Amino acid sequence: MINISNSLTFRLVAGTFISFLIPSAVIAEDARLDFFEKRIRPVLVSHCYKCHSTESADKGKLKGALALDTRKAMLKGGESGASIIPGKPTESLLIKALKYSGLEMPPAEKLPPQVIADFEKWITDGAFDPRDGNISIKKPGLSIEEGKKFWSFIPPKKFELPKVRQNDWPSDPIDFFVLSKMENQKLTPSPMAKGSTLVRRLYYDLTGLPPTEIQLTNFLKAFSENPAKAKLDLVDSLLSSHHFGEKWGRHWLDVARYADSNGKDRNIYNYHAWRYRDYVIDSFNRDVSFDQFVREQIAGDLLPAHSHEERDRNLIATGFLALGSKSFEESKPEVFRMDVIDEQIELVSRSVLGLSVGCARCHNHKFDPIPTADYYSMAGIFRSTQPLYGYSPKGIKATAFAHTELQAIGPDAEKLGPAGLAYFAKLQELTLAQNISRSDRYRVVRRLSAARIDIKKPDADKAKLEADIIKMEQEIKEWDAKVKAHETALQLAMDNPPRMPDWAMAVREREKAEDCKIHVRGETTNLKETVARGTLQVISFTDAPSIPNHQSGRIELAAWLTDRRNPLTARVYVNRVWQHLFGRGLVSTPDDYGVNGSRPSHPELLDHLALRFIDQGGSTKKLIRALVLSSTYLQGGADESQGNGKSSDPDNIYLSYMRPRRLEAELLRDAIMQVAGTLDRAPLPPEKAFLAKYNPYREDEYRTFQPLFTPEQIENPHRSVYLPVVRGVLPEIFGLFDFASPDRSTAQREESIVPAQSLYFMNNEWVIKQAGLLSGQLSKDDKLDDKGRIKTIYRRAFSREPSSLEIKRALDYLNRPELLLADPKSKKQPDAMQLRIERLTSFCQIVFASAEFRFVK
Amino acid sequence: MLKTVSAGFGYTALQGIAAQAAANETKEINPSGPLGAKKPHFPAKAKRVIFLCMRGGPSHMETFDPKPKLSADNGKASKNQNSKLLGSRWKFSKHGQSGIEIVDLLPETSKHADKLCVLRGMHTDNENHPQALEQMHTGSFQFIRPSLGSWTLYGLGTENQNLPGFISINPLTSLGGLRYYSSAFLPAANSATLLGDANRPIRNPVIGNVSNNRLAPTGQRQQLDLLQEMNRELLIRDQDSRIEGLIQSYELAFRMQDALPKVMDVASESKSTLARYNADETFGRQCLLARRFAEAGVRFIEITHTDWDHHGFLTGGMTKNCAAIDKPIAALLEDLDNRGMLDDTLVIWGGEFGRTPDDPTTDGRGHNNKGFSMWLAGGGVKQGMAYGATDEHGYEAIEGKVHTHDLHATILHLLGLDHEKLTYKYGGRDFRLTDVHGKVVKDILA
Repeated sequence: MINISNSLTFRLVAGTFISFLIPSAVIAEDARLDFFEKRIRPVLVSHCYKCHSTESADKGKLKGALALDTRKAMLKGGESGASIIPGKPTESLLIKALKYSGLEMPPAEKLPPQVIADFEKWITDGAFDPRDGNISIKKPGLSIEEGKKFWSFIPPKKFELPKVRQNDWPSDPIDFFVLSKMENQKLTPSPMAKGSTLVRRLYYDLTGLPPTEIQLTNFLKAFSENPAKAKLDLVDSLLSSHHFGEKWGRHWLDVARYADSNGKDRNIYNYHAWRYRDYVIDSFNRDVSFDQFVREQIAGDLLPAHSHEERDRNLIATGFLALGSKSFEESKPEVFRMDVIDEQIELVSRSVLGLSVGCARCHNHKFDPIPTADYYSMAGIFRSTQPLYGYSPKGIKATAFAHTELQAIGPDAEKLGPAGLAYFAKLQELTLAQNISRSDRYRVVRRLSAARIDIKKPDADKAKLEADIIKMEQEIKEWDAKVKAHETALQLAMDNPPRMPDWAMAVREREKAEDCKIHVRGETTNLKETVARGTLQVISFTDAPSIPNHQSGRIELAAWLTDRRNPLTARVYVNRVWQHLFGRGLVSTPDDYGVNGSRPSHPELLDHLALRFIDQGGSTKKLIRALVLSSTYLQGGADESQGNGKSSDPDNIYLSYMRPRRLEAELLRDAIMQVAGTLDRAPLPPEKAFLAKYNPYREDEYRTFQPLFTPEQIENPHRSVYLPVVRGVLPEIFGLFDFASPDRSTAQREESIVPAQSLYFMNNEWVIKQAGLLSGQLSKDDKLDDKGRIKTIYRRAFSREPSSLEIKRALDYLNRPELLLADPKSKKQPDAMQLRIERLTSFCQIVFASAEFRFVK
Repeated sequence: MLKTVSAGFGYTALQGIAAQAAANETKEINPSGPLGAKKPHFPAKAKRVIFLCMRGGPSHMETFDPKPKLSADNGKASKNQNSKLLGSRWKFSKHGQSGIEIVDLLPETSKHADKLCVLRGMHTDNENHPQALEQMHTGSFQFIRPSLGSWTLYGLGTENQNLPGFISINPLTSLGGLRYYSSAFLPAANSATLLGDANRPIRNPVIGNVSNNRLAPTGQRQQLDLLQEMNRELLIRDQDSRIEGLIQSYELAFRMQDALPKVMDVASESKSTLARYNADETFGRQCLLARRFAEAGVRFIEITHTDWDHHGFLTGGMTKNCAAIDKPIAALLEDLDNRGMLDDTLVIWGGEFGRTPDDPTTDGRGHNNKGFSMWLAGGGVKQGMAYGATDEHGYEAIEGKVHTHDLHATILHLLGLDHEKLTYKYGGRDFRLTDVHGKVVKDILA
């Protein structure tokens, strides 16, 4: 191999030497060699080698996996394919790049035309290249074989419980793994948290709501009598509460990028998405095995069902694949289709496998062992699957080609579905006709107004223009009648719908299953070989069933995802559950288990949990039950820590204490409402689902493409999980407090601290209103004095009794001559009673705004 | 994430100190807060940006790119089917020492011709409004990416802790508009603070939750004092840096409540200033607010003027729009210059694309992403320069081509940021504003 760090002189010698080995071609080659050495090599050395050579690869600076320092490397090319095709300069990528057509190389500046002409001549003449040597460029990232040896692709192993010194501490195998690490770090576990801390923590973690006053009192009483039994009883009762699904279903909805509208350029509503949301909540409440849960969402339409309810459930589950944000403005149907597929691949890989397979759309994954071929083998599965996300508004170019539908559900689905879809198609047709007539009319209006301007010009042909104007005015009248007729026809159809089934967003098999071709650089116009439908090579099982020719392969995909030998699925899932309970995952990058992801802090524990989860039939409730009853979880906070864990381990990697966790947006809103006594804790009944009452065909919405978000939606007294998630138009409290972006699968929310959040607590009308409702309610209660009111507020908001100092301080505050402004409506100064209530309101607001309220310890 | 401070948790400094002093204190205590001022990669020419966003795609042939050949060929067949070439109805004149040609519809702005660097070779990838606008703001139209303003704030932090670092006045909210100003995967503190809405542009846009109509300031301070006392007790108990962050955030919010309305209150401006800006009109008020925010140390300010999508009514539309933007922009440039701020403030004017030289009707133009004009002023760009060119009719850029990515790279460069080094790791990959593209347009650097 030639060492490229040597000088050009050396190469001249080496090149010459090589040419002597081929005497028969000496003379012809002399000229060609001369040309290469004088015109080609110096350019390559000075303009290309910095990023495209063995040396740059050694320094980690190789770009595009392309080396240009040996003949072989040059012929083989990089990510975009061969860099030169001898004899064919116009087809050679190198020339395209030098000419800045498509690619632009060298990036700093285009080379002079003469140099480019030299390269063209060189390639035309056969690209004589004396530079011997093999391609020794190691591709960045892992090969599939290397990948199989990477920690996350090795199936979880069973580990013996580690020996620990403080062996009276563990109450679950989990604790042995945690304690062993702690002891290695010379840390000591914290004592068990106080009853009042535990009850608040457990209520929030299992149901997302704080305990009510009665729940608090009952638990503390039971806890003082028999702590172990009180904990068990509480955990079991909370696990069976319907609030469990509302809390834990929402975590999955983050991962599933759930939304009630499309987002992007045409933010139309997903009228039927809420059924999927309710399906998720219900699945967590019923503790559906995680395998089954994944299977239903990937291939529910293909699973056997014993009743129409079960069939509907399975169909609704596949809404998972249909809910993504789509670029309805995309004018190329094929690009639109591949974008939808891309979104589905990224969703499935991130949500279940904790990997970004989407990176492999344009090139082999830069880091992880995922070649482009694997991406397109998964793409084939989704290409053979039709997403049913609803009829599309006309005028939206791509979907006008791709006729899309909805899934009819309910007992009479088969009977009513086709007529319902035909009705939607008719509405679409009538709308299109109406819109075309409107724009035809408008065209005349435009011509008319131009004519009216032109006629005022000095050189205008007035007579002709006047005649035109009269003619056009007549035309407009005719158009008015036509437009009116179209509008009436549409209105008539809209007023007379047939009997409709219920609808769901879903997927189904396409009529013809097909494999996908590799799209070079992700371009729909640059197709290469076809790859068979399938899954990732780095996770392969020899006995995996092959995909039947006539099926998409979603059944096989689901089976592969949930195979107990799949090294990622269980690990990724248990880690997310852990993260929601402890504030930080054992793998702190919960959706990146690849090379760039973090390594697990407790690998043996992660494997233990994954295998245990699998052995227990994928039961989320059993997993959570074990975690929240572990000694690790029951520890107190940093203030109770004896092992100095806080200062030596501020991120709490070794879990020697419990770190406070911030209430997420929905929990914050629900808690404020519960404390204020305004929360309706019943699940939202289907007939009240936000979008259920709307006519599913709203023309005005299609024209403005902007969903209307009304105050009634934030005023909705039900839990936040039932609020509509309108992409880009989130309720204020969601946007401010780091709600998961519904644009993509999110395993871990942001945790921002910005002044806008503080302003929200200080000045927001809704917050002040809730504080006012609480203070009004307490002020009216004659059984309570101010001290009693303060105690009630502390119990409801902080799940504890106030200290005598805190009571005194609060009383002082209530008795302070706080400066209220005059009532802006009546301009009246508040009277004494009003002042008292206002002061209490202002105190309640402080409580909502306080760090103690906003964090769970 | 805010960092914990070892001694005293930093809160003592926040008590009872005048607002600005406390702000300075905060900076010292907490230089690495989410928006703390940061050093650029290399010395910056521009410290802040004012982006005058013209939604709809203003015609370059009717503003900054004279096309005499197009006028000469008026009415001839276009290379596009069913269309005829349409010459501009307006004259262009040379202005200033540089002799830059600008349309006569912009007489006031033209007086500042020698301050402008007109880019006549702009081009971008997409010819649909939402995508092109998104690319203009985020570099990408396929994926949700952080806004240029968010990257700027992420790279440099804010100069004034009492105010948001990235403000967008009358932002575009329809057709996915909010994404143009989002921090996407960057920390949320880098998102734009939105004032008003381009769908219902108002003269006096307000920021949410910034005022309290129940408590007088002293009453609210009392309320805050008790709140902070409770928070500090919790901080001592839990020793959690996030609680300290919360305490500081309440103080910042309290000061912002005071500072923001002051910056936005234009009552102190003289009558003649208000008149120069046409401050009674929406766009004029936006320009004036932009200047005031810039003076107050806001890092990135974007203002919006809509309705440049002239498929029809080109004559009326251009007359109206140019009249609306002409005086305010001139006043803004004049004020920045007089205050010596133009040296380190980069002003950007332009829309998502330009327009075609032809039209099926006689008074309109189609979308054109292959060639259009923008201009830059101040902040380290050459003055009195016209750079690049479209072909003789204005179909596409042929010389001095500047792609949106190149513009982004150049803007970051002027701010002292290397567009290849300003990265953020997300989902296992380092992301850049310019993705894998972008070249700094060195020819226009002063």
